Amino acid sequence: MENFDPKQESFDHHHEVKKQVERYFDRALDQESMHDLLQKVNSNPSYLQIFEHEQHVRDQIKRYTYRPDNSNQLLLAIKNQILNSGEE
Amino acid sequence: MAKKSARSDQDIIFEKELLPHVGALQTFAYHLTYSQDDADDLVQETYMKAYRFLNKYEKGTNAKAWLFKILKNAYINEYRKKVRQPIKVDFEDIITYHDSDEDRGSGYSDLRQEIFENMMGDEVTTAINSLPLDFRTVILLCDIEGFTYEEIASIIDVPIGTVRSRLFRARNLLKEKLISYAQDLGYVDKRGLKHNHEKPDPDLPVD
Repeated sequence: MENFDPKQESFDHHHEVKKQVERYFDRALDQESMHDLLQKVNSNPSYLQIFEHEQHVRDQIKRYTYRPDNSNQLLLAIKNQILNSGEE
Repeated sequence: MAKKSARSDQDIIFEKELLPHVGALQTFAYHLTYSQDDADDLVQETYMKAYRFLNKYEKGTNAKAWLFKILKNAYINEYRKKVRQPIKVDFEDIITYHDSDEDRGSGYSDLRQEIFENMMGDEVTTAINSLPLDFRTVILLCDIEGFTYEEIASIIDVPIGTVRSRLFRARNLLKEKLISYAQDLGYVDKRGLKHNHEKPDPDLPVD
């Protein structure tokens, strides 16, 4: 019988949860796994902590990534260009 | 008359399904070209191509992914030729994806929340823009635009394994850069962790 190492098992479990959470945010989990994970997140504080951390960091990366703010002007330019191309 | 009606249907599809993605395309184009003007030209060109080939688009399918693929191809085929960038060897196509990459995780769970506290706002953009093109592309498509691995694989024409491999390496690089910027701003990781970019295990066999 193999020696049982609770610390190692705890580490492996934590790592597995992190992977599941990452795959959730990557939209790489199937429906069943997603449902299981969300249930655990709702009922287990350690799952919730990992989940919220990953969510927070991803939100920050999205929030701080520059997005040009002149898309309305560009939209008009595209519409005009297409309208003109149809008239030619 | 029938011809006129067909044209109108196409215009409706174009307006309702394709035009709403202009902002997302503009962001992607900006991070590819680093220039507002070039990004706008690239997006306009993308829409002109999409309009011309609208008969190839199936109504109600993934318009956003279709547009991103057109834009990415336009960028590779035309824009990069214009700026005469040297051809680079894509090592990611040589290094095969290992399941062990996934075992080590590819998310941001080891990145401390506090690193964002002192940032002025442009560090994330600077960090993303400093990534090599292939890595930058998957970060933008996955983390900023929310495409799935399958959609990204289709947009950039690589196998899903390559998408995951690039994402794993791209996120590690991005984390290193963000931590470095945060440290320049006075952040100290109290866990005393070393932040070396993880490299593939040299002991693992390569296919």
